[in-house]
Amino acid sequence: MSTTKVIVGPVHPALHEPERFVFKVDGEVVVDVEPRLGYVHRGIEKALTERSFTQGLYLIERICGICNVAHTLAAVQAIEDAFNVEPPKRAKYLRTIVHELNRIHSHLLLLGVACELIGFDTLFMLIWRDREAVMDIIEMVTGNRVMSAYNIIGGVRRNVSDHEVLEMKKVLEALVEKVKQYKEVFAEDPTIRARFVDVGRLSRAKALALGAVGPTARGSGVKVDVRAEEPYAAFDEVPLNAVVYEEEDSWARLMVRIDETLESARVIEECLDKMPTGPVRVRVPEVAPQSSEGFSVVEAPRGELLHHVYTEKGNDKPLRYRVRTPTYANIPSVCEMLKGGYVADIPAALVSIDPCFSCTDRVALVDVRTSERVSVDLLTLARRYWR
Amino acid sequence: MTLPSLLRRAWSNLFKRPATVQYPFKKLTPPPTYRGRHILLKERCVGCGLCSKVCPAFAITMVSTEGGTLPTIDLGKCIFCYQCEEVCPRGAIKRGIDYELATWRREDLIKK
Repeated sequence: MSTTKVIVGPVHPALHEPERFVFKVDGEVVVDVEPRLGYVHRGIEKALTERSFTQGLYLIERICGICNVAHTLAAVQAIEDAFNVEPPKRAKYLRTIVHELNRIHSHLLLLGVACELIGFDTLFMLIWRDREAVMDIIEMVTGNRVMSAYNIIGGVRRNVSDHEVLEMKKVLEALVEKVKQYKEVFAEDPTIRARFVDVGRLSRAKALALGAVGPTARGSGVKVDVRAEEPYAAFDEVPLNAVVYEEEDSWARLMVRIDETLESARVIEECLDKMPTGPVRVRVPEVAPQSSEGFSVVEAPRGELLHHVYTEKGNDKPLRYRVRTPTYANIPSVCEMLKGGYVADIPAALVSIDPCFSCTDRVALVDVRTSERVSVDLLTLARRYWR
Repeated sequence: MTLPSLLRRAWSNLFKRPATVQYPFKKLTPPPTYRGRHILLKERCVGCGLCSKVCPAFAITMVSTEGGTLPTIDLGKCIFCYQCEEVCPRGAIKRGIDYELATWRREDLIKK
């Protein structure tokens, strides 16, 4: 059996970000996939060790523009863990609200892109039109549409007024109605069903074995959601019902996102009702008060996101910073999904993990000439990159 | 064979006004919390230089003039995080909601 190699990327009209995939195809069937990551490596982890904690927060925000709130939330929680600081209660609620607003906008973006990739431009336009309302609330609450710059070590940067709370409730109510309609469309529309049902199958066993996270795992029947299992911010007081679908295909992963959008809207409304009054921010020292390490896991829109920081007493910069992003964890799963499928189904399977490559590319070392992956031990890395 | 439910909605949208705004002719007003072009209140500035130290994008430099040391903000570098507004002990940097920042020359981006 002879196979042909189809090389997609690094720059390709079907991909939204630079990434290279080598598909080994037999006729129309994909036999094997070789991903090659690292085209948008930006050296962020090293750059973070050269900036103070406050300055670094704005760089962390730019790891991924779409899920920037998840990144800053994980970062401030990790740094607060290392500093041994507790943010005020109201700040935790506000963090949760903005985090979930961010999730809604990210999920609606992905659903729109998924529709566009299968050629269903009408639904793409309709979903993005309604997403704009969420962007407007984010702008009203944080001061910018996308780069919110909202979470800060020790709390959040600004409070919400009663007027804004009412406005948020009004917009979310209208949004929930519309998302329910889109759920209907996704559930029964023949075009969507033809392109997504039974495409990109990832069995539950494989999802567990390959360590899939987030909606990718939840679409395969694995109930894994950081918000439900290890509640952070205000999730311990506003419990979350994790959304799980058992269908194990691209369609299930998209349905998980629609249901999560509705669930997020419910969480926000509950947070707005329960939110206590009080300060939104405590002062924290500029330099690390102790040599310690901080650790935080949050559920980003694409899956679980991990931030790990080492601090040194009297130093205003982190000693080492490590980020593990959800797309990185989902790459083995997406390779599994593509195997055995048709070439024409590649976009439909790839989009269902909501790939975000610029947050993925940080630490893999690849020898360009031999395209060999090199793994180095911590000591060599320290000698090479640390002061 | 049932009618796709989206068809009904797409049909009803035909009779609605477009959701897009004809931007250069009709401008949106951002909320008052928006982080746009800075407003520098020079008479308040004491020239402490905290803003230039904290700026994550290294966009602020302190320039000495006859009136004392004053910050200049390079809007080409600025990421509009307004950390400078937060650290300023005298409230000399204020938020503005102006978002039309394009200029013809790079020098015009530097705000004195």
